[in-house]
Amino acid sequence: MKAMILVAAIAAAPMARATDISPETIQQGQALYATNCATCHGASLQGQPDWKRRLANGRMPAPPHDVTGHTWHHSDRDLFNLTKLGVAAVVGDGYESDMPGFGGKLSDEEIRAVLDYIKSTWPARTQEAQAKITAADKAAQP
Amino acid sequence: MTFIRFSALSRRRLIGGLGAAVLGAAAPPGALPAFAGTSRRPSGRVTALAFDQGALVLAAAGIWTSPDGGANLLPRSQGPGAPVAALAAHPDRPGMLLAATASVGLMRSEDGGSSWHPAAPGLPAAPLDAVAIATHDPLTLYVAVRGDGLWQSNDGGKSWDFAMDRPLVDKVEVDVQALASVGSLSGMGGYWVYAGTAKGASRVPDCFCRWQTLESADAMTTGTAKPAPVDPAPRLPHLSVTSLTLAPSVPEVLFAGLPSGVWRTRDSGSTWKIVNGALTSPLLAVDPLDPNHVVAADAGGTILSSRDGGATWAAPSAA
Ligand code: HEC
Repeated sequence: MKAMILVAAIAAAPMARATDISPETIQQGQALYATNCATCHGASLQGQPDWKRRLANGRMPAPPHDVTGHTWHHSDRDLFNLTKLGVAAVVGDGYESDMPGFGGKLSDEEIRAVLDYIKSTWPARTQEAQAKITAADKAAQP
Repeated sequence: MTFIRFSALSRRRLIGGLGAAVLGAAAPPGALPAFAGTSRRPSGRVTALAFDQGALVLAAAGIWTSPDGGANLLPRSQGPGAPVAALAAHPDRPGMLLAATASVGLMRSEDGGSSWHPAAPGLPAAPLDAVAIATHDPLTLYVAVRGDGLWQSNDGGKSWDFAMDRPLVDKVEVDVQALASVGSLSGMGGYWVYAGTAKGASRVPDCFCRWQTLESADAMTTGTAKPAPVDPAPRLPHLSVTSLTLAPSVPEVLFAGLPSGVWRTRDSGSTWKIVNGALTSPLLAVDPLDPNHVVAADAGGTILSSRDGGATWAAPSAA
């Protein structure tokens, strides 16, 4: 079982690259991730320690971007907005969050590249699940 | 709280841990009523209510069941050995019940409440306030641990993981006192978990990304149609929600028990209306076999039921 998952994970990376995302984009995204996201979300996307528990200030720590987190539960549109605008702006209603918006720092292209890099690290099964969520979200848009 | 008079017993059980074999048998003799004959009113405060298929199950001093929606209550057993904060019934296996207890953890019955066994050895030894079985997968269980948060099992209770901190309401973490798995799509590849707290209700997608209060705009609720704005919107009051329930087949209709009575939403929680003000902080159960059949019971054991989805209420009568 473990071996199978491992095989799937290894197979996933070239698959993601083979589809619509170029290796250059993923490389660019990886570099942008290292400079802009890794401090909080972890160099290997592992998130902050004990990330399911609130910090003393009531805010949530940075979750992992690997499969153990919930990043893959969001559609492309949500992930883009969360990264560009920050979590507080997307959730609204006075929600407080330590996740900054990167709209002033990264171009839309760069934000997409970071997210493409994050997605490229997921096993195929997770990529497919997230693609379905994106498709459902697209279908629900007016 | 309502459990104060049990506290000495509770603490002893807590120290004894969850490993004790037959907890029911350890109950002090004479502390609970004799379980024979019929009675219309349960003894002790009523603390939990559920529908086990068509059979109503009620926790007070002991477990009581009713074949006729509360018209006749029959004492069933002394219960799991501690006050029951919440009951959940398996959707497909009649007689399979889970009880969240104040001091002996999560308990399971396979026989409609007659006998009880520890169901979740891996949970923290703290009072449990609520339990829900996921509507899409009965092996997925959610439990609210007081002072801690939500725990989840994906294997029917064998192993548990911390899933989510408690909701933050007015900048303070509040305990979850009622839990419901709601089978409408969250837009995040799963379904919803609704929670009643001392300050209204909150919900979280089952990815446990973020709590949102039911009053809030559904900023993150992608993939589901947003209800038309109502002005002024009849919201759920910011008060203690001690019961939250629904029929799995009609996930957008939920009932909530508040100090003012029974509240109902028909749009997954955006707008609410009080449908019965006769009972204070009622416990609620909806018959999964008949979503129009709703039963409400207060702590004193007064039972009212509705056969029309909450529009009209009366004392239950044997059909
Ligand atoms: C200053 C620390 C910090 C930095 C830097 C940071 N994040 Fe975050 N991020 C967070 C925190 C904290 C959260 C959780 C916020 C919450 O839930 O309130 C979060 C949440 C997110 C989420 C939502 C995840 C989910 O499933 O809910 C996404 C997406 C995200 N970050 C992407 C990024 C990307 C991409 C970068 C780099 C461009 C980045 N973050 C940089 C702190 C940070």
